[in-house]
Amino acid sequence: MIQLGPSDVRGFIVEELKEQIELAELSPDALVDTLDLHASGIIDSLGLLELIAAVEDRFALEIDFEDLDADDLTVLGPLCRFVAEQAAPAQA
Amino acid sequence: MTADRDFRLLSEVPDAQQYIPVLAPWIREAGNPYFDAFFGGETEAVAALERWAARPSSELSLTRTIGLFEDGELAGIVVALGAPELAACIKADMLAALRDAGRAGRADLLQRAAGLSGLRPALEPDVFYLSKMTVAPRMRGGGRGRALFREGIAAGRRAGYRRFRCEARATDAVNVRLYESEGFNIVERTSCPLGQELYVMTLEE
Repeated sequence: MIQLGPSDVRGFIVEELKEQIELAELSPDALVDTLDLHASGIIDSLGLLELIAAVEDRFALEIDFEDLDADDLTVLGPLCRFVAEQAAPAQA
Repeated sequence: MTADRDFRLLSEVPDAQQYIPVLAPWIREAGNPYFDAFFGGETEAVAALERWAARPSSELSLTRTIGLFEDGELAGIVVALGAPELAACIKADMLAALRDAGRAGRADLLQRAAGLSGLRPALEPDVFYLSKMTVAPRMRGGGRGRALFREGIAAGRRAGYRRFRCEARATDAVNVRLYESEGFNIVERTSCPLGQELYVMTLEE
């Protein structure tokens, strides 16, 4: 079983949102971990729905967000780490 | 008017949960046609909004809903919160919608949500947001809506806000006039693929 890491999640998310990231005049290759995808206008509430659904489908997860601070839900670094951690028990 | 009026945050009212079945249809009506479209019908919308009102992380939680009480009876509501809190609530509500839809219902939810895209533009962080203002149907008239709206603005001022935003359906001339008479201006007209049109209205002090 391949271990899922934050960089895998990040790679997928950035690719999913590439067009919106470029529309926000940011470089997909140079995003900081503190980037808030919602506050920066990259995704709206619908975009958040689509992103979570896409991440869960891609990595075959049902993410339990109860332990994640809602503020971190759309912040790139914390989100990627959280998803990777959620994947870990199932793959252990 | 001689009735004894006061405003209270519903979460601070004893047995506040009793108001949820009353509030949910009011919130649905105030937000429609958005809510019926988002949740997939009237019954689904009312049921979901009852759950949202009961959940503290929701935009529509009792903790963010100001009630107007008249002689002890709930006469109306307005939902009032600052933009940073709203952003967190929207995330929590979208997660709740995904969970409620389940894997089987997810594609339908995404399709319905796509039809509503673009309706509500994001708020800047220093903006206070008022929404879902409703007066109980049998108590309409008598300035209760205006009183609620002013109380919502006062709550924002107490929290340090000087910029305010609300929205009105483009077809809702009564509320548009009310908000304009309280100093709000239409700053944007938004629409969505399903056809609903909103006026985004702001007040800057």
